[in-house]
Amino acid sequence: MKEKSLDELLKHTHTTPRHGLSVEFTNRVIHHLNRQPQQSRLSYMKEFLQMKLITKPAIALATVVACVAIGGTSYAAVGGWNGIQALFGGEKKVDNARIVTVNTQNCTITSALNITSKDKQQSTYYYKVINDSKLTNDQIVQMARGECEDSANSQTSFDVTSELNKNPLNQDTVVGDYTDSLVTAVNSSSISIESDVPTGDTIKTFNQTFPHIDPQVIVYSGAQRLALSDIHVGDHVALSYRASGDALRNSETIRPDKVDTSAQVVVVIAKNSPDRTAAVNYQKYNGKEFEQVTPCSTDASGFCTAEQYYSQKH
Amino acid sequence: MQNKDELELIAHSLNGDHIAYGILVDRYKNAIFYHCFAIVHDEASAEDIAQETFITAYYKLHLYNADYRLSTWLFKIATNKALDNLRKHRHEIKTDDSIFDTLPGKQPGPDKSAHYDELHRAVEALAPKHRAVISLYYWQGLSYNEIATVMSAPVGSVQGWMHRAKAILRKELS
Repeated sequence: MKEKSLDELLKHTHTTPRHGLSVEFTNRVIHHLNRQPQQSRLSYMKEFLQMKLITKPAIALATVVACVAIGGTSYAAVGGWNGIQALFGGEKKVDNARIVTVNTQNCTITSALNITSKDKQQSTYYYKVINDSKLTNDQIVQMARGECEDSANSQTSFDVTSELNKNPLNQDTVVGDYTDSLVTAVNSSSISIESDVPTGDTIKTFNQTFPHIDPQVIVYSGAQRLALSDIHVGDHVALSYRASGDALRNSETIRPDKVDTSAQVVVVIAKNSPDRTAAVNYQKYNGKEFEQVTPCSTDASGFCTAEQYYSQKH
Repeated sequence: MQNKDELELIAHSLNGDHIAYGILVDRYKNAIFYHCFAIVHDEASAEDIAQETFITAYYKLHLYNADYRLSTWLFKIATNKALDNLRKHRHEIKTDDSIFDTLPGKQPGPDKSAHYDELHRAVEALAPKHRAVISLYYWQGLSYNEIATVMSAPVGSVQGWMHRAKAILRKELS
């Protein structure tokens, strides 16, 4: 089963119920709401509208920050995470686009063109950037490196997850995590963080205190196992928590400032997790302003998209 | 980003306007129902979970963050409820191949139908979390970032789950 054909099969294998929803579905929902005692939610509406009013400039500001982050030197602060390198390898003009070459070390980027890891030591990735794009070659390289770091971080988190699940307390109750967090306070039983949470295409900052840490908390940095005492104020971390009772239900909110952390227990702390700004931007622009391509002979440009590549092979 | 009409409907719903909320329910009910069905594989349960999703969403609407698409938030609630349903009824789940249909207009040709049947069974056998990711990405059209929001996980984890799910499917279909 080749990647492309599997993708195609999955797209067209949407399992749907034989019968549709009951025609009374919406009425039943509304009927249920009508039976409940009404309470004034005017304050919520005001809060919602107020949030919208203050959110818009916040988004604009965050977007500017993100642009600066990928275009400037601030990103260098996290360069080299886990030994990952990404360097500009050249540019080639083709019709209505340019091909940017990125040479990497210790990197695997998950995509249709390289779903399985090839040579992680040294890999070359090619990106076709449309002419209308304002993205610079340096930004393409930095976004590719961000994607490398995200992928490596994911692999490590897989390993940790396997270990995490050995504890029955963690099974089915590990409900969330915070990435891109700065430790603002920590002791043997609690930890406070300032966390950058991806919100749509931008990132917002939240402060959160977790009053409980599992005695068996898994602490690590890259492949290295650490102790909780190795975590200090100012460290850049990602953490995962389990929840129960109301806190589990509260996890349904996607406003971290509204989550009650009193019934949440920190179970994993990863030190020096990579900044995700560049990876978020990779996801934002991928497929819109650039696309990964691979060398091939069937296209005049010398490079094929995943679709072209697999259609020529099959 | 939300359109003005939807934001107004949400604001009215927050003020107790059930008609406004009914319009939102009508807008997303099928997508939520299909997604729940993809996870629990039982029509009655999927409809119950979809109904619970919209009731829960109504009472928690003040917690909704309008920086996200409303559908993303609804998928998050529905996914939690569907996975929770599977945990509670772990020993009662039974699957019936006859309940599966492909979408109208997407019927595979005869040469591919065997592959589709195989894939149905392989997807059905995946872990619930993997099924959820497959449903959200391939059938509901969410991006990896949106799925990360739905699943309360880093994007890298979502990519990893997808990678793992597809590796299992490839092995089953090889």
